[in-house]
Amino acid sequence: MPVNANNVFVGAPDQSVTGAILSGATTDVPAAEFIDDVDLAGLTDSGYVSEDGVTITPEDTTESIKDWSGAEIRRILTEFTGTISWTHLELSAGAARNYFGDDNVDIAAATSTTGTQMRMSLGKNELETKRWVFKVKDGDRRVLVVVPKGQVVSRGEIPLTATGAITLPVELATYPDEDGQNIYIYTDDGVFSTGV
Amino acid sequence: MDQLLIPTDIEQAVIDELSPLWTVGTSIPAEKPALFLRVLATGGSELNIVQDEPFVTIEAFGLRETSAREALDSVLARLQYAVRSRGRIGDVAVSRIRFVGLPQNYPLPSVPTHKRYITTIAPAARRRVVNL
Repeated sequence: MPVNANNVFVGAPDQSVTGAILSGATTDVPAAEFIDDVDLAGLTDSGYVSEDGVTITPEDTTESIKDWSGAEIRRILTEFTGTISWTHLELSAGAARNYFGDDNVDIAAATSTTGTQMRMSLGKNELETKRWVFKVKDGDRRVLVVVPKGQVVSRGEIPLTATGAITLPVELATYPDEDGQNIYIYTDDGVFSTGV
Repeated sequence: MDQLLIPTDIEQAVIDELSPLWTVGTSIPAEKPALFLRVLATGGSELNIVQDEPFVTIEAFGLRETSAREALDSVLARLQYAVRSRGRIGDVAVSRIRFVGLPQNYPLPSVPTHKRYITTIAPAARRRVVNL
């Protein structure tokens, strides 16, 4: 098969309508078949993400089976973990809810004398398991990464410096759905068929 | 299928993006309006197999310094918005845009009627694919 530059995707965020990271309640709906079947209803966005983007880290753990001579003759997959990490660049309600947890963010709407005010709290709080969608667009090429069940399990340092934005780094653990899959990646190369 | 990966015409892309709002081209018009822009490709480098990072110098000419500067500030904001919201400048896919420098007050002696502000941007622009 020849090389094809149309299959080279650049991972830029799709922020055409909303932010590129969406989350919402988990559902029992089976995984979508293709990209346009992914249901984005009921998901809310969390604004800008830092220039480091989003990183998907799959990790397979295997166990070796060795023969009498000690040579490895097979490896058995014993565990899979998939994590996704990114850094929120906004201190918005959506980003705060992802980092601190829905129950640990209180918001008072803006009034004639104050701006929108938030109270966020850090503690021994287990964050909610939610459904997550990450949107990527590269010209006509599109990528959607869907995590049916994901939970923020690690939160990075919050830098308070005079030279940069306050950021909220998070790491998402993914859990298998009914089909045993943690992460779905959907693509559309944007090249339309010329046939009927 | 063999393919050519052709660096995009970034001047045209920027002109396409800005022309609905401003008088813009790659040369200084003979009949100079009160406010106009000139767009010049000024180099850059390859970013990866499908993208380049061309440098594009944009000049804003106005009868007053204020109008030239404000126009150039708006141009930068418009281009940044186009990339963030549509991932494109004109019809060209652009994944990010970097400001090489902020606007400079830099009069052009050959155009004494106008004040000039200039700046250079570096968009990560996708190459055009031509199947052979």
